[in-house]
Amino acid sequence: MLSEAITSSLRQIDDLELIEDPSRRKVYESDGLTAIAQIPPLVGLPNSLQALQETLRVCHTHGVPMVARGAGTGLSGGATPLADGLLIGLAKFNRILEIDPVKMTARVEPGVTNLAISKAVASAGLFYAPDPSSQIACTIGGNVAENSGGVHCLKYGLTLHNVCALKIMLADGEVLSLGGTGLWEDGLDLLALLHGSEGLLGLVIEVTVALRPLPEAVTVLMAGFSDTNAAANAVSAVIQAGVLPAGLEMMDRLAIQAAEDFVHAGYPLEAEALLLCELDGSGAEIAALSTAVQGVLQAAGAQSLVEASDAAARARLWLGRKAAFPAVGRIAPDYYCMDGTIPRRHLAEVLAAIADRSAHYGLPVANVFHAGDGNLHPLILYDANDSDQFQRAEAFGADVLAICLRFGGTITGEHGVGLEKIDQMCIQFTSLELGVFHAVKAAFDPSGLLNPGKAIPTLNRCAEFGAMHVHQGAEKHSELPRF
Amino acid sequence: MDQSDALQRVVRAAIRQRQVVQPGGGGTKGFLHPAATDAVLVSTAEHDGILHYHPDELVIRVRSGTRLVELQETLREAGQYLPCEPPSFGSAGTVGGMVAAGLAGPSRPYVGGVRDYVLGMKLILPSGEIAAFGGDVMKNVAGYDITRLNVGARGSLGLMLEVALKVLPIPEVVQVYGLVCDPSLAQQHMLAQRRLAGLSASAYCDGALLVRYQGSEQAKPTFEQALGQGFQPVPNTGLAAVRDLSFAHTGHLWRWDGAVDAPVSGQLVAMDWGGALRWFASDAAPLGAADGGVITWFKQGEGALPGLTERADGVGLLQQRVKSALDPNGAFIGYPGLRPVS
Repeated sequence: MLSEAITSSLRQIDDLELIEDPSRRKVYESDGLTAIAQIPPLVGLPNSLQALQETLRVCHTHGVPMVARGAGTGLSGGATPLADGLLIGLAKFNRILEIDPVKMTARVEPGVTNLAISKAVASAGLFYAPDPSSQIACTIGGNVAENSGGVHCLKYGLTLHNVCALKIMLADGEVLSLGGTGLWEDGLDLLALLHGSEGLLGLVIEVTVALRPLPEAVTVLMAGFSDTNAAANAVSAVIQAGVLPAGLEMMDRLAIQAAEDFVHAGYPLEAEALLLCELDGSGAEIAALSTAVQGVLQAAGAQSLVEASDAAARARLWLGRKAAFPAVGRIAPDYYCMDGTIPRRHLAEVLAAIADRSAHYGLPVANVFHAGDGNLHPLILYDANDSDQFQRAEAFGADVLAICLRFGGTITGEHGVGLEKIDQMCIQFTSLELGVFHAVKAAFDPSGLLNPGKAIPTLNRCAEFGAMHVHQGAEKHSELPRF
Repeated sequence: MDQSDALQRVVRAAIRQRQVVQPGGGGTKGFLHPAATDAVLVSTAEHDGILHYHPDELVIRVRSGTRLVELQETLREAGQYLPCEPPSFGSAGTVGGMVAAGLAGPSRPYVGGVRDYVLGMKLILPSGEIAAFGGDVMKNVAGYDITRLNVGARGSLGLMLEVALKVLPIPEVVQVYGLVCDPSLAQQHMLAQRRLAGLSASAYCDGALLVRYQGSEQAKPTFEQALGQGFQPVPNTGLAAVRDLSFAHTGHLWRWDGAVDAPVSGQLVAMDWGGALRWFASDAAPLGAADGGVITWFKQGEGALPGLTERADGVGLLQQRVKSALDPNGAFIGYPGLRPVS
């Protein structure tokens, strides 16, 4: 709970809507990671930067922790409220401030949705490339905080690669502009550092995104394969052929079937694995490019091959992929979405290891894979009302992350650490490396008030976790006392 | 050859003796640290070798002392390249030096800079201990992005031991076109041509606008047509002068970073990045040309060092806090970040 003194100070701020009513606060109890919920003691919805700044100053003065929230679509609990902190909703900052068709940039407030940017600039012949599946709802501020990806990262990069400048507000209300006016700023690259910092370093209050000209021509190829290895090899073959597809996605049998049942995209139900390969370019080159890639896919053993070149057909093929998560949600009461990245050459071994764990825990798993960049989303199916299943799903998820690390990957490709994967951070990083993260945090937020307890575990937490999990036969935090 | 242990010993000895460490590689970009100090230069030049390369995953990991030319040759043999197109100030330049300097070539606005292609690194921290950040995968959001914080940090946060890079397939066709014109007309073309599909460089030096196409053979005629009258195919090597800053100039070299549509003014000697990067050469800071951008000192000319100061705005102070937090004892050299005294 927050003290009456703090609450009344916040009530004094103009342009700050405070939500005190418990039933209205409940709306904010979790983000996309619904398994962890905490009703915030107070929610603040500032309607101006000045109100936001005053809010931060009040919290900073009184030592009140703060959690920033955009649309609440994050999947790792980055916006899960704290029992003793203020939840700050930034959704009211939803204006597009400036579109510059010459510089090909858009300056927007943090609460603007990802898709709204592309929609607003389409008439100028431009688009914003990163497109997380939640793009209809997720906000650009959240995208920066998580360094969000999507299905077009292989060619166009992550949020980090498509943002030119940021305005941020530090915990004490100081406003800073990062990125300069050109394409280079002298000194340490704090603009890069803010991406994926999960709201621990500063609040994003303005984003200048880089836009690209809409490609003249786009075509999507869909290939079905009789086993996942063949599909993985086909991915390698496409890239070896010197082609950089705009998107290159893979789904396994269970994911294909769930998606097909849900949206009737026309997916081959007999296939063990499906590849969606989007190619874009100028009108003059797209036909030859498509022919070449079709040849590569066929040589790699594709059993079915469909091309969708008009917009409606392409949208139908993508719909199945983009709706894969809710589609899987229809075949089980709950699903737990994982987000590891692996070097793609280990895909077959990783999938085998996941299948083994699936059998061990008695829980089915559907795999959706950003194959071009090695980002794997196993969806573990379970029933949250069955506490035993819930615990098995969590243990299965932890095993999946450990498998990704064993094969040289990472515990999170694009969903972030948040609360969900905080223990696994102790496996991926040593105490020394975690110490570097803590030092960065201290430079930005010495009072530790922004989103505490998320993203970066304390060394004590790792020591407790390490007592239960020994990684590769060696304790990673052996220097710390055990409790 | 793996020199990690030896390098760590040298760094630790310097720390013990309270000598400031200045990481170095092939010694081709020493001019970026102009002020003479008593720092100990620790060179990674012998710490070289390609650790692994998986062309079908577009990822390569090398030791920091690997020469850039060796990396580029290895990639070329596999039909791939490093899109950030770093400048070469001599064949001794290393991958570690490229990453520490963070300097990108003419392709910067179209495909990204050095940090956009760095995926992971292992480094000796200012504490003398070895840590690893990022990895060998393209998508990785675990922990703060310490890897990219080190790109362009000029060795101020540690000594790099290994770097993992994203690479791309070499485009089917690469062709540069030239047009002799004055800087104002060059800027008009630069602004008009920004959206051309396949544009991968737009630079001006030695009295000519140089525009580069890269892409498929089929789409090339469309590009040529859109360029309009007067542009002639020229040797691709013409852009190297802009990339490597080997164009004719006298005096100190200053860089201007700003908006592409800011008016062209003053004694600029070259423009790159479609007009977002402009080079000035003069003994005194070209402050009159600062409109719409920021001027930083880049390289010393014949004359004595001009009056320079570290940036002291809010961002500059935060940069210093980050440096102090990661290197509390000042074991490694500072980041110069030198702006003209106005």
